[in-house]
Amino acid sequence: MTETCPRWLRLLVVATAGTVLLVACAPTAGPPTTSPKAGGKLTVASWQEQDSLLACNITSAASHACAYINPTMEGLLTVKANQDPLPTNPKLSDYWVPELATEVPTLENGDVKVNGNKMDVTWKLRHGVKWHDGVAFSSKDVKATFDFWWLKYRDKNPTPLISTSGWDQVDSVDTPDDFTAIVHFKSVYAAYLTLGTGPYGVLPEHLLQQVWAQTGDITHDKVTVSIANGYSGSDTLDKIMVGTGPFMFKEWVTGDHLTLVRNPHWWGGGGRPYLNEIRIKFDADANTELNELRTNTIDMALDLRPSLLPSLSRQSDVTTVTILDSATEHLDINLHNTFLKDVTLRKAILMAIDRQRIVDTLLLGRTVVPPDAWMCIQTGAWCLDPNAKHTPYDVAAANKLLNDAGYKLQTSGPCKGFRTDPQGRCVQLHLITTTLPLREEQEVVIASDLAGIGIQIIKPFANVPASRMFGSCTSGGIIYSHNFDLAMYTNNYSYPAEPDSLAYTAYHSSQIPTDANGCVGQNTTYMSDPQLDQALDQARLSVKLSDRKDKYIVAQRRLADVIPEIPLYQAVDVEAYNKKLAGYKGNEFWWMNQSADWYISQ
Amino acid sequence: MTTYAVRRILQAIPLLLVISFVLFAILQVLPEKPWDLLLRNPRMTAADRARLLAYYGFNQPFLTQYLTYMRNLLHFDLGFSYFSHQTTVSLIAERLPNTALLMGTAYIFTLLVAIPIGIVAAVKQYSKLDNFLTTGAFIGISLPQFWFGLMLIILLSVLPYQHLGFRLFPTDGMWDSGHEGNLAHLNLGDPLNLAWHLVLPGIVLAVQSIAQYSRFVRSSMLDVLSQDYIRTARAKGLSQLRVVVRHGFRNSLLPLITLMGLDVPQLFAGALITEQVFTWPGMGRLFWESAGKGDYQVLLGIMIILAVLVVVGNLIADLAYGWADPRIQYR
Repeated sequence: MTETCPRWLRLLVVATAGTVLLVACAPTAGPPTTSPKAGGKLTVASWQEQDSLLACNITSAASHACAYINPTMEGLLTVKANQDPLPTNPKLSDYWVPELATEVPTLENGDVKVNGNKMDVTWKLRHGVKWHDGVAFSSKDVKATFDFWWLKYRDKNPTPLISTSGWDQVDSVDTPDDFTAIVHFKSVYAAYLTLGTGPYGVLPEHLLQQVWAQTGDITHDKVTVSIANGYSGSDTLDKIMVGTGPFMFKEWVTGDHLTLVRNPHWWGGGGRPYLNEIRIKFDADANTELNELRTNTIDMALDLRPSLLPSLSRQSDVTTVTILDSATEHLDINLHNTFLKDVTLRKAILMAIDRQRIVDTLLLGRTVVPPDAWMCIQTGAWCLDPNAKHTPYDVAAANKLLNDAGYKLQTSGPCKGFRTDPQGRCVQLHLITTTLPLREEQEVVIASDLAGIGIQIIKPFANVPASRMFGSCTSGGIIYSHNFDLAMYTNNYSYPAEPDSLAYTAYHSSQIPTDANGCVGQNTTYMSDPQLDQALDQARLSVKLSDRKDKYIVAQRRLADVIPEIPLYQAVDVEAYNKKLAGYKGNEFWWMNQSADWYISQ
Repeated sequence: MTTYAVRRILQAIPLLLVISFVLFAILQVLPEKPWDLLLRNPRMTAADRARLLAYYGFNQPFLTQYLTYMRNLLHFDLGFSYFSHQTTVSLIAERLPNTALLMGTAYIFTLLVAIPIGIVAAVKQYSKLDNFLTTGAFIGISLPQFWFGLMLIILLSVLPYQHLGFRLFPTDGMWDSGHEGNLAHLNLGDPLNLAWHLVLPGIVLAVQSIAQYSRFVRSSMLDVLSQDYIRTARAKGLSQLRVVVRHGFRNSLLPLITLMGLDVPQLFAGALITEQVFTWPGMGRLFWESAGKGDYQVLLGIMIILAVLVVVGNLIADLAYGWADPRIQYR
């Protein structure tokens, strides 16, 4: 007797074999090669298309815009990649890399000269650099940039500049030759390195002249441009770019993509840039980027959420990079709150939150808990207090502190299970944050930890969209209206290696936003401390680094004592890229910095 | 009919004025202000703030801002984006062709599928086929678009790529790299690549519309098929096809025309969720992004256009009634 295989079973076997064969033949990632290769295209996804190419620090301050503008537009200096080595005791200048300048001007090398309450900064410029339309770069461009920001129009600038702060300290610019520009400041301006540096640091004089011949508003006046192999035509400078960087602007189809092509005449040499083209694809959100990475539709995804780390860790052909920021996810404390004005309670809260657990569980250990005063971390580490205080997690000590201060744990009554303050009031606090999944998970941990020392977090999930959280105080924005007890968010340095803009605006008593001052400032906690004010004032009036560092150390110690914030963890940027890309180095500020070194390894 | 149309257009003017005022006022009273995002900068000084508020006219009283807006509107100027510094008209011109392609394709597909389904379901009322189509329609109506879209992406794009090494369909966008066009510039790019990208968002939009339209057609056809003149037509010995299509379907068109008239603005407004899920650069996404940023001039411009389209769509529907039913007279 012979047994015959049923027809359906045979079909199933054939189909299964076919599927196995298909899977086996599917392309797999091979090991990357090490020597850079020229050629190839790269598709990079950004989930936040900006409406204007000037949104990188000219008409707005958008990280995504800075990322995809960076390969095209250069400044006098740029910043080092996060993993590039620093000397043992880094100076501020060690964080910068000359780009269109040939050296970082400092007091030590004589390029910065202080004369009484004025100062001069000499910029020595790179030879042989050309703008993408073929015009030679010179000191005229540096002068024109300072004219554009301040000297030509002062506070009547026709362009809606995001801020003229710092530029308004400039008196004049001299150009003794084509490769030297001397900037004369009317006061000592410690943050002088932030002017003219980074993407869009220097603007082309010949195009500014076209704008100035019209209304002077670069968002409105069209310029005519011809870039060989790139864009040719007429449009406003917020729709096109003419830079000196390794990649040239070709086209921008809004809502879809932006194309940059190789600049064969880039000053960097060494056959760089290696890639022929970078295409920026604009996506709706980070989840779309993740799907595109999974299907090899894109090669790199910018600014993925830390909450996507578990999903990314399962992608074998994707490299995930977490870059530590100079910013900290923290709890702002409203110092005018009935309970929180007591520093003992603030200290107990600092000790009672298991911040390392948040790092280990919610962020997969990809970041660290910062010092109690975090204003000088990462690129600001040149001013970090060598004895910076790190308060450990210690519930027993927190409970003892509260017991000793008269906060009583109630076993009955309306406050049962929680503490009352020395006046007998239940200690109840609101915690508010934005509606991001990771933040809401953090909220659960914090509410639970604070319950452990008898502090009740009420309405822990009444969270708001970012627009409501960060709205101006005139329109009732939560943090700038001081309408919170504890508010969880991250705020960043606005420029690398320069703590002034963050520290001064966040902690100086003159920077408390109110209706009366037009809501200027970011001192949302009502921090007001004369000693701290004095240190911050003095730090911004000196260019001598050792002096500045001393003042910032004083400021850090005051902040660690006063505790206007609870730092949770050092913020992280998450970038992910296909393993065929090589030469990538993470950079917390400008995510596509050093794109000239990128190459396709397979 | 011309007099009727002109009278309807004239009647629409005060209506649109009221709508414009209400929309303008609503955007003004929202707690999030358009300048919040512009002013969220640690380097902002009081002088910077005053300069920016004056630049955008935010320092003017409400009524002055409204009258300026209306004066510009008379010149077909719908304002300009606070963020892109482009006119609302040019922003819409960039996005509208993309939306028209997506919505138009889905709409034509909807009509081609839904009308026969509705007719068959009505003619075969309470049959197994009718029950099957009715169940399918309710499933289609009930499917949340964001969920359905994500499922299609995972099932037809991500999983095939991860297990078989190729994408059945793309995850999102309008073209792959190297195949791009620009519909606003009448450049289709690679039409096949564009069509490939159109499939998944088109399905998401069409499934729900087919479900809704087929139910309308079925219901309307059932009303008509029970009429005396249908019985008379059958008694005259006309074929079933002729009875259903010529006498039944044409007379069942009135509710469908109303629905189509109301859907005219939809063709231009785009699909907010579907465009977002599939990163389709259309009007829905423009609206969503503008709302997120507080770019109120763009929002206002889009809403004013939609208000006009609602009026126009209704007018077209009213005029079409006369074609579908000769008994209707315009006075």
